[in-house]
Amino acid sequence: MAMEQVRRIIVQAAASARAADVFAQETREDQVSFDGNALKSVRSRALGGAGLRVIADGRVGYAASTNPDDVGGLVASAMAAARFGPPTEIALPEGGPAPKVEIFDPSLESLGPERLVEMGQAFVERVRTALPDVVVDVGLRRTVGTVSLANSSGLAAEDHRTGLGMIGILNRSSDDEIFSLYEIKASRRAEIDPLALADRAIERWRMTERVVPAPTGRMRIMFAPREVSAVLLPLLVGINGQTVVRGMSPLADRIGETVASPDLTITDDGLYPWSFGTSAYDGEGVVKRRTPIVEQGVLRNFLLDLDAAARLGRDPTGSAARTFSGVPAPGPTTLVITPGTLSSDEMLKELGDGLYVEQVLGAGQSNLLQGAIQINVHLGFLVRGGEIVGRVKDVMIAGNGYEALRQVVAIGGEAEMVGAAGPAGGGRLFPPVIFDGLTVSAQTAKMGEGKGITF
Amino acid sequence: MQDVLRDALRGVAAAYADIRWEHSIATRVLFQGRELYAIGETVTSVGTVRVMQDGGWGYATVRDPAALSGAVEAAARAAVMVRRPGRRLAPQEPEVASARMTAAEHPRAVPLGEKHDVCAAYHRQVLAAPGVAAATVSYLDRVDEVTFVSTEGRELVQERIFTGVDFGATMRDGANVQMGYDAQGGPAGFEAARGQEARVERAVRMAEQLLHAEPARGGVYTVVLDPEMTGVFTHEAFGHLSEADFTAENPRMRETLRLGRRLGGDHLSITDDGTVRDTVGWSTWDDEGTPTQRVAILTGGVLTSLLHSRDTAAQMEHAPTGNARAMSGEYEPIVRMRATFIERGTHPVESLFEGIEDGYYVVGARGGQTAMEQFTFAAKQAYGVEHGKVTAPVRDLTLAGNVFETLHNIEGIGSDFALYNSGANGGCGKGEQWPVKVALGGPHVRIRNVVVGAR
Repeated sequence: MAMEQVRRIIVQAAASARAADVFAQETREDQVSFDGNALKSVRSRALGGAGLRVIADGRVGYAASTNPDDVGGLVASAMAAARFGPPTEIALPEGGPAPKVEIFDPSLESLGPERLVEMGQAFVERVRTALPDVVVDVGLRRTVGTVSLANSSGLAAEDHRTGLGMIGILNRSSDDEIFSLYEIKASRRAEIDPLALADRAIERWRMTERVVPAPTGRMRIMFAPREVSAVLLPLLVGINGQTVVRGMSPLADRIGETVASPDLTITDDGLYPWSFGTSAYDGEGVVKRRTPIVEQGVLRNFLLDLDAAARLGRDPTGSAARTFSGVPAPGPTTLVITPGTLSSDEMLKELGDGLYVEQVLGAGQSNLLQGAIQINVHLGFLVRGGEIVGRVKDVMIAGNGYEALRQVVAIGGEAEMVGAAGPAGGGRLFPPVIFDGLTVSAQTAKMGEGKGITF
Repeated sequence: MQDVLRDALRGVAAAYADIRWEHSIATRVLFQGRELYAIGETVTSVGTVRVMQDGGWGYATVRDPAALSGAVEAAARAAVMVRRPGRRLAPQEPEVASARMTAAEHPRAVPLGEKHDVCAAYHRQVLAAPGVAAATVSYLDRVDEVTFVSTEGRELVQERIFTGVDFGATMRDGANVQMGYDAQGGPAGFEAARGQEARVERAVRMAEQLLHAEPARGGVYTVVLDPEMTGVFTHEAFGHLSEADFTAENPRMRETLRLGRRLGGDHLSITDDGTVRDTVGWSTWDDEGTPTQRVAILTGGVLTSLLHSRDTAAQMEHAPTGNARAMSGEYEPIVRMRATFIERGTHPVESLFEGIEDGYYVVGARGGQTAMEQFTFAAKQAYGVEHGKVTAPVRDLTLAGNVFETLHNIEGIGSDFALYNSGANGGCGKGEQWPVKVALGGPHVRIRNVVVGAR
């Protein structure tokens, strides 16, 4: 949406409301989809809209629309909502010098669907050459977009962003088994190599060919970078400013206290280059920055939007996640776990006897406020004496996320940027991590025939 | 809008093309913690063009009707890039028709203040219960005007209505924090959001019960599922496998899920039904203009049908079933479920508990996830079962299983029946399209050899 249109909305809103802000997005997207080893569809989309938030008589209302021309309608709708809206004391930021961020790659802007098709075909061919029996699905998406932000305090900012994402899924099935494995990579710059992604998928696929009985009981578990989030989820809920405001966070009074292993340092980095969590401003116009969450085990900060910051008497942290169709809420940008020094082989040796988890199911379905972790292992491997023995199936892991953070055995030296789910996106720059204190339960192949391996 | 769509399609050089335009108005009211959090309205007006040429699909999405002619050309060019000769679509007849959902209180006719006040009263009801620390009331209504025009002379206008309200009660006792949930959803107007005091009370009592419950013990058990958990199990463990876009392009999957294959006992039949009028999956036509129907997916344990779009139906030489759904105007339709359930059986519910020496009774589902053959669910509530009797409440119970084994492990199917609808925030996720509102349910069901994950 042009800055002109956004300013027009603010001007009209400011005529009726004490304060207002507009968050507008415009995105052009090309996507290609391969299904069953062949190209199936090609798609282009032009999406976007504007979301208006007004503060009138101390109350907040919002309205959003995909049609930028009906300014009067948008303002009237937001004002009507504000009549019933929650009271607020937030002050909208005036803006200031914007930090420089790297989120736009001109070569991605000019990358067209033909190139996406080439990338997909390269992935399919590489996999099928190595694994002729596997059926491959691929999705590739390239986005180019603009985010415009303006408010009645004088802030007016616009940025341009690019994005590229690729997912490759390998499938096999028989009468007894349907198994899929996926590799996914996303970046704001053109740095995705389909052949490298294919090679990773092939390597992992080969690891699944041998299935072994699952272990049970309490044991060390190494989580691959992509799945460390499953253990961190309770912490992320606990540091969310709105959880703290509602009095639901177990961390509410614990800033400055030890909440995790002294080996653990986690930072929320709103400026990390080429990450989907990065921009100069958050969704409310607060400048983004690096915010320490946990520093050598000590809790340092919550993630706060303007509302949570005002209520807690703290400064906002530039953590307001927002899409045009909704209201802002706190969320992480790019979470960075400071890596350790161990290589992947050394990590396996450190693990010794335990489980190595590459993919989970069901993260987030447990009582996160209490730190409960209950997940199903979709892709996991038994490790004995520091060697991967084979794939395990039908395994569940349970424990407490807060306790697991205190029982970090080792943190790997090789971090990987993995994405985060959700419309407001974000990044996770995580190394593999070994936790102790979690419990594994498993289904035996036949009931009554032993309980699997115990250590 | 029909004229606009027809004009845009005029002269398109393709075997088939259609445009689906959705004009949607959604109102949200959200109470969290002890207060109102947000209130507002979102208007989206978006259309998606589909072109099939030389067997390949091209799609284009725009939010400006004036851009439709360009979008048709872009989709046609995209389709030509795909080229899968010999592929067709299941045929359709020309028809010009419309269907509008009716409601006693159409959401657009109810003042925003009324919606706020009704939700505020529920919020007060939760907060008034002793021991409640926080309450959530999340309300959504949505009216979609869907206009569909195809080059085969099908011109269909539908108005769909959804109203839903979710309730959450958080109780705490020291470090023990538990949440109770309940949700109401349906193809109805504001009348469906009124009179939900009993549902609110259920959410409160659930939180209270969980507060005093012992954690479930991990292991392998015989469990009895209530109709809601039966529905989630059916939807996640089996329903997604029956969506033919998972199998159509994959010859091995077609073989694994071949019609006539036995997947369960004689007593087990599973249906997906798009004609049940008070369910959120109900529609006159799907998003490709195919009339919805009742689909017998599994009959007497044997696979008798898959769920189809026109594309999957043609590839597999079956008849289309009316299961092509797009979450909103921004997406092309893909195969989705509507109302998915196990058919009523013959066992009186009490008899299902007989002979269970040490098991669980699972009531309601907090969520579920599947990775095709593996599934995992979290219970809302659960109870022990000892010597055939339901005993004390337990908490933090999750179930996992493997579909091939678990369907055969169903030991008894109850003679009762109930269906549940997605509420304001819930729904099914597939690919990027989440949440799509669905219904699910069935009778009480008894299953042996289920993995329970717990601390």
